Amino acid sequence: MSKYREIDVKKQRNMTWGETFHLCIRGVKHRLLRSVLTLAVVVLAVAFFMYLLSESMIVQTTGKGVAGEIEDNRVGQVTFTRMLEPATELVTVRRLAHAYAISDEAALAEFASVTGNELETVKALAAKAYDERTYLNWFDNIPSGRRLVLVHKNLGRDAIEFALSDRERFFEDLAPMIDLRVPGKKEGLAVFFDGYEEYRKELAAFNSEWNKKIVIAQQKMAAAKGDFIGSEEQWIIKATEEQRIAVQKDFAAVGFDFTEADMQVMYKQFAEADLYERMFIELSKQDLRDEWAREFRESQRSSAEDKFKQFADERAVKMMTARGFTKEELVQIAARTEKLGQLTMLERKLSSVVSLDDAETGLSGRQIFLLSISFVVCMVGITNAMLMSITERFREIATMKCLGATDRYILLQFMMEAGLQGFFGGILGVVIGFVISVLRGSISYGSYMWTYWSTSGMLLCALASLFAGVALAILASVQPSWSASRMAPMEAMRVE
Amino acid sequence: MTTFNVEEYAKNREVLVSVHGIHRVFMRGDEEVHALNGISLDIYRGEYICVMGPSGSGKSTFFNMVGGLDSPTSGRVFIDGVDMAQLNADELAFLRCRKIGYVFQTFNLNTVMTALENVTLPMIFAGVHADEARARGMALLEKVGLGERWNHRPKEMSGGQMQRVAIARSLANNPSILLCDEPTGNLDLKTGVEIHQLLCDLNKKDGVTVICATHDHNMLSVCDRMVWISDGQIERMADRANVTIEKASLGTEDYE
Ligand SMILES: Nc1ncnc2c1ncn2[C@@H]1O[C@H](COP(=O)(O)OP(=O)(O)O)[C@@H](O)[C@H]1O
Ligand SMILES: [Mg+2]
Repeated sequence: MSKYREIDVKKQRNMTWGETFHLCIRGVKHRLLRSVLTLAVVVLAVAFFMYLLSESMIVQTTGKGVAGEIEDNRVGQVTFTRMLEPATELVTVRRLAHAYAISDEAALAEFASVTGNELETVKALAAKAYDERTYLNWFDNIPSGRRLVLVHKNLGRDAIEFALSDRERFFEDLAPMIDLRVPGKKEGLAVFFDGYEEYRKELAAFNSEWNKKIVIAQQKMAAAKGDFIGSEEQWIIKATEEQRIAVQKDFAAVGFDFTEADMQVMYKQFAEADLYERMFIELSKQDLRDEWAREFRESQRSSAEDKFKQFADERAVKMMTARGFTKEELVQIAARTEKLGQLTMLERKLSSVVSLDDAETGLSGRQIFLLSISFVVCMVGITNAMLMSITERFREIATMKCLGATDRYILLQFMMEAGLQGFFGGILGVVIGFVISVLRGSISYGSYMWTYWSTSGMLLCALASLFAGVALAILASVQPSWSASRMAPMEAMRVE
Repeated sequence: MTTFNVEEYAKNREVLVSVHGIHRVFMRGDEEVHALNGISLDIYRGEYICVMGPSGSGKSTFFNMVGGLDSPTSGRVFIDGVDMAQLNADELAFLRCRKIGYVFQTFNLNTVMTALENVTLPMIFAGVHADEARARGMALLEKVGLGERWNHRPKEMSGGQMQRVAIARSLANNPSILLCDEPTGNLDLKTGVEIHQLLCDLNKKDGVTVICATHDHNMLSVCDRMVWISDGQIERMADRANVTIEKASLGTEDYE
């Protein structure tokens, strides 16, 4: 065949990413609205991701903030109980476990100084207490049928002791229950069982040491009170500044982490509680109730809490000042009632969604389940929509191949197009999800949401959702893009 | 009617495309469809060849073979001395990009792109710099008489104009072959004549080899050679010099 010239046929060059992107943008710009289906799926999916993520973040931050505030409001009473009431072993376990869970160094140091132990010893004990709490919880939450098999009718520590009484049988019973997840696996439980007896001894010694010091604190308090008639709380309110400082020093000498500032907070909270109590008694007196009902024309007699909220009213002010309360006191109580009411309401709402005690972060199992399901559904949706759009465009694809497009280019172009759709749809979805979660959040938590608002957290949620959207779109487009890239160029010639 | 004298016709001509006994069998369910039944043909550089035949005779299938869009079940196709069967996917893409221009019955323009963007697309695939592509694209659009309309999208153009853009696009990388599969099939008579004239000009002035499938009689006045295909075989061939006078007796009416 000498009459044929050999010409130089090279491989078609690969398009650069930049060129591909450029062509892609051009197509997407015009097609964005035409590929509504893909876009809608992406928008929906991302909105859903964003909603779940940001909602859970709002709940977390607000929840922690509210829990902190509630704790702050009770800190006086809690401190007082800690220093003056002997602790049962279980109370000590709870305190140790909590301090361990949130790494509360100050609390652990206080345990060490009061009981005269090394900090390391206390930390080790606290870790074991945390384990005990974990296993107690676990035992109590085993579905009752299987719990009956494992520990008969025992609950709490009795369950642990029952299991220990015949360890072999217990583990034999446990072995077939493979779906029952044991914290720290069976090995962890075995180690806990091994150390249990010793731990209980250590704990008992620790607790009795603690309670000895409580007795000393009680004696010091009694000495300070002298012949004052009334509770310790009342004495603290009535005591002079010097007397209070003296008691604070006494407590600190026992080893408690209790400063003058703490005493100041305690004094304020006790005074407020006392004022609240006195007003409460006053408001439940018959003559005041009658007067109130007359003034406010109430057919239904309102509770004291409701009345507190009306303290801004001139008529209420007049009634109460006549009975020896100052205007400032009224304002103070009204504000306190309002705030406490909100906090309790929020605590109830939030504790149902998040366990505030264990400083848990992240999504719940249910939410993760929802997310993965929606991920799969969206994958299928987008793949389907993309396949449809590719069959619609088969002539365009084939023509591009006639014009010199390589398989690689077609693959890349379609995946990039999907990624861009994921990006634009994702942005819209993020905005929608954000708006919904903020709306819901502000309805549920009001100004508390903004008090504990975290812009960086929200940004992270937005980025994560956007990323998920883009990843979803690209992942879903792999198969359709692949089949597009394999399309035969002769389709371009076909005429229907 | 005189028979076609191959030797005489081939004199002083250089073979550009050579087709050796190609068959193409499609499967339609369990049934075999023989779209091409052993076609052998040499096409010469600079020639304007017309492939005629009734619908379903295998014209498009033949074009797919010549254009490197599909491969024959048996037989070989050479373009410029290169055996198409030896080429891998990327080399075929190279060939399609630079050596062959395609004009389709349905125009196949990218609807979201302007006329100029459509014309420059193959240049981008070939790696031509954007500025140069633009200049060349404008020149091509001017050549097909659409210089003013470079910024129009296909939906703002008439069928004739769209086909002109498609022709300009097919010329983007200076191909040596232009494959036109019924380029006037979707156009009215008058516009069809204009498109034929345009193709003829390109062939005569620029020396592009034009291979054109058609039903259209008007094509006859512009081409150099005619090939009739029927049932996947070459029925006959004719030099235009011999048929112009006999136009009425050609029997092409049968095919319409
Ligand atoms: N992809 C295909 N699959 C099955 N049969 C095909 C395919 N392409 C073409 N054919 C058949 O091959 C024959 C020739 O078709 P075609 O080349 O399109 O004819 P023309 O272009 O002359 O109208 C027809 O019978 C057609 O149905
Ligand atoms: Mg055809």
